[in-house]
Amino acid sequence: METLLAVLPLVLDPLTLGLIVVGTLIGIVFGSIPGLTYSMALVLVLPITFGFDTVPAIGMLLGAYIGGMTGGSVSAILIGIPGTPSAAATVLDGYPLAKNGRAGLALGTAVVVSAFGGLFSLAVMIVSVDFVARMAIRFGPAEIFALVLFGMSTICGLAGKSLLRGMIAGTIGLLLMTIGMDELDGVPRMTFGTTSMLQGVHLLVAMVGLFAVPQVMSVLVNYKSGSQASYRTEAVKTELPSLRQLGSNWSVMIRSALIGTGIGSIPGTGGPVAAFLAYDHARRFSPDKEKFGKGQLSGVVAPETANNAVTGGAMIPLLSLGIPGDPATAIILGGLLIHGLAPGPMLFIEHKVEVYTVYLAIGVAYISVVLIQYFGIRLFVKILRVPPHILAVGILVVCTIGTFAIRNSFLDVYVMTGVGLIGYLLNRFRIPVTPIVLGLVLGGSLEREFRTAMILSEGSLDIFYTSPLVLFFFGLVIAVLTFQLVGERRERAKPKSNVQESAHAES
Amino acid sequence: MKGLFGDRVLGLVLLVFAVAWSVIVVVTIPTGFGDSPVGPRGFPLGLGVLLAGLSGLLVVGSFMPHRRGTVAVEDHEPVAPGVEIWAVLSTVGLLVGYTLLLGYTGFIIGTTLTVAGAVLFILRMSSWRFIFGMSLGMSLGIYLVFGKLLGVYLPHGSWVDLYF
Repeated sequence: METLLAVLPLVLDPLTLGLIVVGTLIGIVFGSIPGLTYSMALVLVLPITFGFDTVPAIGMLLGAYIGGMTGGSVSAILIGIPGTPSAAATVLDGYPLAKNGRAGLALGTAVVVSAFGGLFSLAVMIVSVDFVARMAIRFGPAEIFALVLFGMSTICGLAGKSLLRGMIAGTIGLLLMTIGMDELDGVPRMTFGTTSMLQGVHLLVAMVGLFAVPQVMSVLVNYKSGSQASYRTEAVKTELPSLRQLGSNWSVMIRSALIGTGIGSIPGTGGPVAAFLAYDHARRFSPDKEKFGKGQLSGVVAPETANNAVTGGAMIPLLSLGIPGDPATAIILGGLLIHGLAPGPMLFIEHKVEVYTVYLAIGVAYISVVLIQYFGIRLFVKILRVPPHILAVGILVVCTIGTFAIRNSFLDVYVMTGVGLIGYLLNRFRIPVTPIVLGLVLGGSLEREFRTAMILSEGSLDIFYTSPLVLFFFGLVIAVLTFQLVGERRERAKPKSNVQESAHAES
Repeated sequence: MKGLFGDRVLGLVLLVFAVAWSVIVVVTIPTGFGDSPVGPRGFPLGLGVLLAGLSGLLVVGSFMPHRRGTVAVEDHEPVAPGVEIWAVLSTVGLLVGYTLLLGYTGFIIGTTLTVAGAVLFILRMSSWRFIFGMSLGMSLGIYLVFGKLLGVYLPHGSWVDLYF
């Protein structure tokens, strides 16, 4: 409690508050424009935060994350195209509501339940994160290795449709991570004798390349082939739902918030999965099932509560174990690392103040989401009219400047371009890019912990099968992989039309 | 790229890459110094071999009988390959050209020229007012917000340098 009081003035500082609001605004804008993802907003915001102290910087980053998560619903409701994959389920009932002339109510409800879901999961996170960290503090290198391996396996398995492709992507990420100076022995690896390669592939450079460049390429493809929709939207005003309307949905809200938090805390799942599960759950337990898909308010409430509850859930493994669950949290992890905060159990001892900052910043971000969307909806309607190809040019400029600013290196910009090109090609060959990023993020600790464990055990592999906890995590790895393989086999046996329906959790 | 054929091409490219990687690892990275049982070579080599194995599986899988006749579900709408190559080359060209220009002319001039060039030659818009406004607005706007307000270090030019 004292820490909380000590942190309060830090977060309520005008600069920090301002940056959280600006971050949230940027997040909502990127989230609401189809084709621009909030992962992209995060990689573009990150270089901006370099000049600031840790607290305002983290606040801005978290604002962009939360804004991005809620922004997807704006275009989902108004034009029937989800701004982010997480908002895909919101289209099902949000767009029919808009067509019935109730767009304002749908938008207002979406933003209120988003804030509810987010704050609910924040509360769950604050309680559980400390508990998980306290358990994890006793982990040795072998346990951490097994845990990180488990994190990698869920992501490789769940991020794409094929385990083999996910594993290929994860391995590519891990390979890229080994370039540069070896931490333990101080030996240059794969640098070809150049000094500029000694620092290796910077995480952020790779992320800008993977998340922003391929998107710009797709925008240009759509522009040239003329398949770009011009979005026509009418003037709307956000209309907050009445207490009675919320009251009749309270059980849907709570159940969806629980689904979202739970799904979010499993690495490799994320917003789209949670939103579809919550929508399906709400429909199945609703007395009037047949109204779903035709403009039922509960059909907006469920996915929007759930996809925002993912934010708090995803923070649990991120903060307490240092394992990000999706691209967005991986970028936040990158941001925390750049500002000198290494997530993991030690974070709660060494950087208590910053941890509380994270809690408060998320709360403030949700409040600003409600205010921005209530008062600024007209602005977003205008932004939706800006053609994506114009934005694409601006995004390339900001990518270049942002990448350059990381360590004032033009080489980094070329690396970013190259990684972006590879990312686009891999995507076309249906290799998911998310595991690549997570390989880059987690690879360092995977290798360090393995080698430290081997030094501790003096070269004997015993250390990996004498600890019950290590065996438990290895068991989980096998379970995840088996689960995925069985699922794929079943998918293959099914008729082809059903395959298309499965939610694609790539953002 | 069509399902099975694409898998074979991708698998072979990755296989060649993985083998080359592993060979370079063995040639250039020492095994380590004395006391550490897993040296600096261990992970890169292990991962190279793993990637070779996985890409081999991808190639072998594309020849398996149960995959015959199953055409993979395309995530993208089919587009003409020319359009796609144009989009990729434009993006890469823009990034490389912009970076080169930044090194010589610094942020403001480099950005103004690049944005104007992109609007004119890639987006093929011919309204001079729009080209002028967008290129100048973007470079000055980013200069003020990023460079002045947020204190992000923007590149200086080696030939000309316009800063105020």
